[in-house]
Amino acid sequence: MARFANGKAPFLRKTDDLTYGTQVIMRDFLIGLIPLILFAWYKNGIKVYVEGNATLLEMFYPIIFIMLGGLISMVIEGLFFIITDKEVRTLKVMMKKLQLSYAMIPGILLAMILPLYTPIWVLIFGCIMATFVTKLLFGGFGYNIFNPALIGYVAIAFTLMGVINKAGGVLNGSEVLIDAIAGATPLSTLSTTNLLSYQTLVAPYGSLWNFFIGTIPGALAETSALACIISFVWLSARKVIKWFVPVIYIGTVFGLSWLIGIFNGQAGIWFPTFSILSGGLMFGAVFMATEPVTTPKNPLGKIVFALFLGVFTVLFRFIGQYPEGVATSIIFMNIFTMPIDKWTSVIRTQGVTKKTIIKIIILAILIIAIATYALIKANSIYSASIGLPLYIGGWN
Amino acid sequence: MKIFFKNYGLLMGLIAILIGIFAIGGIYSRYVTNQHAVLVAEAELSRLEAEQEAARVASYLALFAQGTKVEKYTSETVDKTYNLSGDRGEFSPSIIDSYHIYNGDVEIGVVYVVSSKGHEDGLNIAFAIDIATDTCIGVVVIANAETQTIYSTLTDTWFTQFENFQFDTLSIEIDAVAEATESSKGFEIGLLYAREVYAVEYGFEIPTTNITIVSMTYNYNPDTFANAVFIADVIHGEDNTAVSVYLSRTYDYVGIVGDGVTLTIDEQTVLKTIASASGLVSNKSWFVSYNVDTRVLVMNAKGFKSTPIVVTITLNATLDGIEGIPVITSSETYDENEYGDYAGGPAPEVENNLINQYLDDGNIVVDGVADATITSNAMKQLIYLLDNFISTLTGDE
Repeated sequence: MARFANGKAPFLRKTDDLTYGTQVIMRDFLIGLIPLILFAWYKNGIKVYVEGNATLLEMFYPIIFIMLGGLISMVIEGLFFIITDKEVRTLKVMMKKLQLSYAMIPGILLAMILPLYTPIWVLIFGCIMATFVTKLLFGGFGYNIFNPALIGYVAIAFTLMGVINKAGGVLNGSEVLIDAIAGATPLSTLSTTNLLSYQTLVAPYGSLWNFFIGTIPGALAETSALACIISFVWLSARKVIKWFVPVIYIGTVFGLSWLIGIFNGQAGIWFPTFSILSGGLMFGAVFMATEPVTTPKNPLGKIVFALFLGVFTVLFRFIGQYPEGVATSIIFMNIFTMPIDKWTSVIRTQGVTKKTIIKIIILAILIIAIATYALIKANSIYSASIGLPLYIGGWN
Repeated sequence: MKIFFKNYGLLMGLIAILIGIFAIGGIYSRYVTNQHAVLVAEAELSRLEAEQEAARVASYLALFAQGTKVEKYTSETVDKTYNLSGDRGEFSPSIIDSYHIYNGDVEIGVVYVVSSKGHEDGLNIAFAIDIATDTCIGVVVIANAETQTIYSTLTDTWFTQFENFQFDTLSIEIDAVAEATESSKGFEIGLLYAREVYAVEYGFEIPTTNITIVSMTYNYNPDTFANAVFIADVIHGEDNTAVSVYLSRTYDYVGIVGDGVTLTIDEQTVLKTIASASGLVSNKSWFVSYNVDTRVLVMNAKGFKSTPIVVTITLNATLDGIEGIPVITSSETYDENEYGDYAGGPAPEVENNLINQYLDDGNIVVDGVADATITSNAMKQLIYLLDNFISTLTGDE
């Protein structure tokens, strides 16, 4: 039997209650991170220790690093509250505010997408950029325009990646001993060789199964597609995220990558599979592209947002200077969250009318144009085989 | 204070936590980075060693025209001791690595990497042996710690003597380079040892002949000592015939002392090998000539330089001592690698020093000059021979 609420409007939904709904969402969100955190600890700590390539102290580094990310963000936010809010003078009040602000999440997410051998002071810098600059200066939880963790990551990537590489980079103690890997992640191998070859891109790391499981070089907690899928199922089931956002985002990247492969002489399904299992796409699609504050609110807006993310990720990843494109595309699209929300709200509420058809056409043209440009441009960069001058030494 | 902590305690606490994370976390991440750096360095070293090993294996394979495959294995342990050149004692070589060489699945050769000793330890040489012909077909020098200016005198031409070197040669002897006798000897020791191991592993019979040295001494007879530096008492032949023979300074057979059954060519060859390896006598100094009328004795001593020290001595009329001061011609320089710390005057200061010690009291036990060991040793041997020669003339011996 259907249940009806009796009483006078306006009605308050359970999820609109700040102390209940958001708390539950964030609790579920944190639970969703657990598979990835555990896998990151297993892959970069426990497994390496068992294989004899790390000490006991090194074994605990990944998990401590992630927890420290959360703690640092909380401390920074706590300091901000004490300085800016006269009412925050006791630990109890501060903790209450931190709890409502979900202070630890940017730091945890940031730590998860950084390389294993990131020095702690670099993490502190990233947390300041994420929490203080991106979140608190914009008004705190719910008011930030950009994804805080990604801004922290990009700030580090553009300024301190050399420090991280000098400190050890992405390869853990076991990966560094594998000759075939030679210090590169799959995407950086693609970026340096421009070669769509299974032997070059996949074989050095084992097989695509390794990509799926996550036993390939990469950032601390973003390599496992399996863990991401588990989290995706959990978060979707708990209605923390909309299931179609990651699906559309990843699907767009898959489709465009497949076309790039075909246009460059590599029609195998392995290449688009490689493309979606490499780098931080899965992680970004599940945890960043679905972030409730910095992404559109209405379903149509989310779909448009995800489509744009897909084409921009392909554009940045395959055409840009850096091998990864997820963080940049999400941050870039964060700028357009508000207009997308506005346009799509109009389309959603008014349906296909003379007024809205133009908006639909403009959005469609933009997506198609960017995707086409990416495909054309990629055609002049990549090839499926080694070029003749490269093959015959001395011609250059 | 209480109010201060009430107002700022939380702030200070958070700042302290942040500083604590920065400091302790910094130490922790530095520790992890350092551990990782050690691992990376070890991995790099391991990679480098693997590359070097691959290059070495490729060079071994290249020595065999029909070789298609190399397989590493652990060879038999053979205990064998050889005399080093000069009076530097004995040395036991060892096998570092060994490899079977195949053509398809058929074994065609073997490579022994022998750790020998030239002037220094660590003269590691790979000897490639064709098992069909029992022949050393070439060598690859893996490592050496020799004095490079001296070692470089071993030219490519010199190394060709190891190509197609038959193991059934009665007595293995490598032509030594005058400037690098110790390194040359190191190669000879390595080759001899490789043959020994090969004999054990592949059932190869090392050719031999029945000849043994009973004793060896110096020849003090002025009529013969110029060419016959040593006299060796040997037993040879199936009948174990005893005979005394003259040997040159390089231990070559010169002839029979008096009457007796002469040695066969094979016995002469083997005698040279065993005499040079026996360590019973030293060839660091020797008599060149003696003029009975003028009583002038000319002797040579081999110091550091390839050109020997020439000592001209005039005996007194009663032939029981030395008249005047010996004339010494020396091209020793004392400033080579061997004499890096020598602090005395130029040549022939060391030679004069030692001979004057002998002239002062007639005692053949003289003190060497610090940091001029090789020259000192050569001169000590010369003084020993000189004293014995005078004793022989006066009939004191």
